[in-house]
Amino acid sequence: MGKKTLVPEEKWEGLRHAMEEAAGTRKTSKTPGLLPAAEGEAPRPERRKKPGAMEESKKERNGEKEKEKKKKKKEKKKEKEKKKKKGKKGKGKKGKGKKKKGKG
Amino acid sequence: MRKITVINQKGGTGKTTTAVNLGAALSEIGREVLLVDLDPQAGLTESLGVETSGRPTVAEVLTREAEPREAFHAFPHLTVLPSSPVLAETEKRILRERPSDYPLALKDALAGMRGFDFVIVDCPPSLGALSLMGMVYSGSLLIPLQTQYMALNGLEKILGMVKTIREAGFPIEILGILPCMYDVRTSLSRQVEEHLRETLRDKVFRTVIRQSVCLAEAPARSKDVLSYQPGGRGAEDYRALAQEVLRHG
Repeated sequence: MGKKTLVPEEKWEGLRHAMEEAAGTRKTSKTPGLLPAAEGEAPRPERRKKPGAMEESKKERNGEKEKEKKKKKKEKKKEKEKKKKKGKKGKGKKGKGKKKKGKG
Repeated sequence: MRKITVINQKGGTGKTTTAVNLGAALSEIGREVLLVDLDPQAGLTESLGVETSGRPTVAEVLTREAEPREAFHAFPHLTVLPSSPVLAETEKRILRERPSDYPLALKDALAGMRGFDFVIVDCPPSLGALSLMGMVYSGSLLIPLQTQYMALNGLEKILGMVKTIREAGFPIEILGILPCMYDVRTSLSRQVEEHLRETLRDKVFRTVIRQSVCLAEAPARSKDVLSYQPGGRGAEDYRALAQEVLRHG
């Protein structure tokens, strides 16, 4: 049977790494772009979108904006037509109530 | 003058035992040794039976209220700069008064000191301001390490701190890691020692401090292990360590 390992291999790897750094034989890798801005350097502009911009762009992608516009147009048309109809009915009612009297 | 700081933030790893007995082993072969107790628990001071009442200690030396020589307690070839619980308050005071350069407090206080071949500093079981002062003073660390799993986590933290201190501009090196409380009967002790050597190679002392009752008994008699049980296992191990430190240069 093989020898039972009581301390995991990762632990030793971590220690080796820590010792190399402590002894100065290993340089820590730095992710480019994460370095702090040097003195006198202009602060980097923040890339921040307007609140709700994400949702808007999504709608654009899906063509939902155009659909909404079309819907609104339709609704407006419907309202106009209703108003027109209402107006005609009113006249009609008035007309119905009047009876033409014969001349003689 | 060689300076060595004995450090490990974990308690009970053998820091004080190592500082006392390495100092005793070096003095046995005729080297002049100064032991600095930088722990407010004053374990080193007590283990050698140094009486501090009414006398200055390392606390007053750090605040420059006393000269180092006023606080020294001398044995043949071995001098002790003792500590007392007052040191805990002194640490806070130094942090208030020297917020930017407190790590240099011990270095400044012992600057210009002559007449010793070795200065061995015993640190408290923490990585606080006092330990930092000890590390910056000597620039050379001896790390006693129990041959147990949990001790390895502590070692990673110390190594991280060493990196930070180096990056802050203080020259500092690891003299060596000393496997302590080695129990030859347990496979964990054997495995930890084997893997330590495989992983950290020349940063691990060849000497191993074996578990021994006499190392625990000697402080109760206010003695170092070399005078308590000269032919014992503990004395043998610390003599070997002294030889290795001398060879190290």
